[in-house]
Amino acid sequence: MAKNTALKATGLVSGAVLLGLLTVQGTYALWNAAVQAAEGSIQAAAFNVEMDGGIGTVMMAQPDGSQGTVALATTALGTVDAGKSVYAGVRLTNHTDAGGEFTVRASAGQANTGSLGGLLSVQQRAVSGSDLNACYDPSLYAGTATGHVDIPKHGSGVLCFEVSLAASASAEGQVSTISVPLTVEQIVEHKG
Amino acid sequence: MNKMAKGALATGVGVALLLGGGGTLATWNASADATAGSIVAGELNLVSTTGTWTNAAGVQIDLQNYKIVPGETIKYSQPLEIKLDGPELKATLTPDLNGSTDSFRGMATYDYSIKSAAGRELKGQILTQKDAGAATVTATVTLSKDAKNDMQKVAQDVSKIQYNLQQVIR
Repeated sequence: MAKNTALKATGLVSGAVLLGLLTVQGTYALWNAAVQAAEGSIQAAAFNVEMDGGIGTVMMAQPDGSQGTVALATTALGTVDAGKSVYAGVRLTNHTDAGGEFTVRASAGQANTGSLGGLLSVQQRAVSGSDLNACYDPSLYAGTATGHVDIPKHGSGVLCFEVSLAASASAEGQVSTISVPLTVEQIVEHKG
Repeated sequence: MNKMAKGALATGVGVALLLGGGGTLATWNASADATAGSIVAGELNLVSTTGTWTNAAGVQIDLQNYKIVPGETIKYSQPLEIKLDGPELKATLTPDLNGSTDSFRGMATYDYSIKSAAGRELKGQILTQKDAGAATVTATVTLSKDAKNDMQKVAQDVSKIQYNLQQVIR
């Protein structure tokens, strides 16, 4: 009987010790110290490229994320006679808010010559700077084609177009809408 | 028994009790100081000073007014003072994101190193008293070249990030 009592007591003490250890485990007190690393936020830039066809400006990326469409000055394009050419251009300005370098490359894709189809041909050139008048010089299109222009942050470039109507064309009084897709993409040149 | 006799008897009993109660009277003893000195706890602490951000060109930037673009890496450098006082004190020093969300959705990569003044890499190490002193954290953030247009104008809050100097027992 005395032995049984001793065993019971031992068991009770062991249980209490075990319970005690388990209870304090969560508050095991080790020293620590913490400091804040930095303040503020890392912010990504916006891709703000403005298109100017001579009759108003349009942002290439619209606030709703859609693509912008710009009309080129009709005075520049005007009426084209058979065997003749007319000229137009679009000025692209890099208005990015990037903190560092942010150069973009602008180019024009294949023109869709609309209802006059193969009677119209479109040549495209790219020039640095912001002067649309550079596009109205026929000699620009005689030289080697420069398909793209690199535009640095806050800089401009111009994409020029020469539209020619075939000499054999009989399209008097007809109107054709020409659309040209423009592409502007970032040139990644940052060093890691 | 007259009153005189009763008084004399009471006085005699009182004296006897006084003599009998001297249980510690005149036994030998000695004492001495332990000379154990004081037990002094060590110290674990971490102090930071303002860090600086630089861009890929090495130019210092103000993060609040700086926008990054795909392919760009910016660097953060921050001096720390590590206090580890105690020969048996061991600790780790790690960044703690503190629940920061990844606003760049995997399009940004982060890396860091912690160098002691002696040039020892402390990242992933068990720090001891000999690592106490000045250290510098250098962290880089790179926005991937593959970041699409939907990453424009995204902001990643970094203010919750902390360095945590945590004692370890091993």
